[in-house]
Amino acid sequence: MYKKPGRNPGVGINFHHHFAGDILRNIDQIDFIEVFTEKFFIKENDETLSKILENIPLVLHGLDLSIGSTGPLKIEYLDNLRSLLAGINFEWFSDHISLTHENNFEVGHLMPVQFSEENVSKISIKAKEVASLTDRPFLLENITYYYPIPGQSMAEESFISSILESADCGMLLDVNNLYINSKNHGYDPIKFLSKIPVDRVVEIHIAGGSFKHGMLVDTHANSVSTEVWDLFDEVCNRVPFNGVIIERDSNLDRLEDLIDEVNIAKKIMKNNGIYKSNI
Amino acid sequence: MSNLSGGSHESTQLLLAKLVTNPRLVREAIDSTDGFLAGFSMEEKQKQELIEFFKNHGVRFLASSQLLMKKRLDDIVDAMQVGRKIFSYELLREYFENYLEKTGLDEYVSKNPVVESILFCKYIISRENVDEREKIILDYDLTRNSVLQELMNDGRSYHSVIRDAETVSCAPYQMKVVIHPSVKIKEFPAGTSLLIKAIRNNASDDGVIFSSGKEILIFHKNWKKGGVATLKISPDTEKFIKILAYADSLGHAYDLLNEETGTELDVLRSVVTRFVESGLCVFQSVGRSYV
Repeated sequence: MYKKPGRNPGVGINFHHHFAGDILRNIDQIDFIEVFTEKFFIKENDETLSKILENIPLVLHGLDLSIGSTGPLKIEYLDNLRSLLAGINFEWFSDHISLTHENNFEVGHLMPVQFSEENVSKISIKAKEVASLTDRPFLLENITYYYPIPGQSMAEESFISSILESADCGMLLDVNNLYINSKNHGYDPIKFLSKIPVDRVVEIHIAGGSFKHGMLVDTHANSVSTEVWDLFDEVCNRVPFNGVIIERDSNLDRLEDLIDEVNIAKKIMKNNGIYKSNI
Repeated sequence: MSNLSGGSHESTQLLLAKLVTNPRLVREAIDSTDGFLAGFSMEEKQKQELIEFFKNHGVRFLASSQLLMKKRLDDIVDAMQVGRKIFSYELLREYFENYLEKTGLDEYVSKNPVVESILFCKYIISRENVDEREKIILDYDLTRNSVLQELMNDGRSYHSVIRDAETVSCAPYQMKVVIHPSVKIKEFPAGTSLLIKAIRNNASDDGVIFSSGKEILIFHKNWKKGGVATLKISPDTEKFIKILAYADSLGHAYDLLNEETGTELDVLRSVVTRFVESGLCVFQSVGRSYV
């Protein structure tokens, strides 16, 4: 039976190798840190990251589990994951409802999967397999998608909800992805929230996007927009989450810019009376 | 005619997964859908779904493909640590589009940027009109990234290794030198290391003169700082390193080197100390495994 973590670590950022020293110097402003799961598959000694992890909690975020692939999970990936989860102290771990490879063909990004009962079943079985590797919560994240896969039989919110319930796992709710999808596919993000099991949401992602090719795009390379902050404010009201990660992968000259966004998130949470509150 | 394996759903997902990695093919699928799909063996229902898909969502699918291509190129360029400083982004983009042009739908190419940067550098060297200086730099990048790729695929832990240079002096027969097996030693035209240094420092490399001679570069795991380091070495040092890697213990290596070169023990110790300090090697107790 899925059990929500009791801990509320607050607001953190995703780890940036280039800013590792700056993160350590600003550690008192960052409540926890998210590191790509696959970074730990490479057995490198990263002394600065080790020092960061001595100070603040860690959450793991995978990119390449490819739980939406038609075939089974890759044995090598599972072995690496099992070994990592057994040897590191972390709060929870997550990956995306998507695929990064199909039938051994590497796509190179998070590709949407067909919203269908067949995929609910396949993904749920795999999610249970992954969750069984540890007693810490496993979360699945909603991705940005720009096109539907042909032959779909379910709406996005039904698809995600069915997977979470069937796999009995937690959710990483990416507010930027929700905002972008709602604009690109023309739906109300608040109604979306009312249709998913929000009590399963453990982590929130907030990031910036931009307008390209006639649509909103999830870039992780821009500041968080006012619209996404407003939606986050609504999320604070409706979703009993544990922690927030501000994501930025590129186009960042100073860590201070990310710290400013950490402080905005803290302020919104404080205004809603939920910053580091008991779950 | 391609026959995509699996049921109709698997086929559609796989076809779109392949297509989205190549905007040129996406354009082809949108512009002449019937002709494009005629190249595949599929059920009529699946064909009709794909025709509807390209009609209704083709523009966004193409946009997604273009975004993916840019990100893929950006990551590859980022992995080309020296090459990215001598080629403009626009030129690399042109080369990348040509590279994709040569990549068919059924070619299973790794999308890991380090791995793909190796393929991309090899492609530029063999198929694009680049001069000797540019070829040297691309060869340097691909050699460095080949070592990095092997490091990334190395799942072993090295908790028991000793990084202390003072260890060199004590118990040499109980200590084995560990040089990571990804190490690569390669000959380049003389002047290459100066050229690379100038480019890395954003300085002019006009003064770098290539002679007909060769210089030897070693690309190795940097045990001190992580990642890959490069050193210019002499033929004698190359021999020294190969004996260190071959010998059963540090003492055994000293014996072999002393026998072959007559070099005094103190000199050997000082060289090994320098190797440890530069991150080329570490030590391990004889008989211990990597883990």
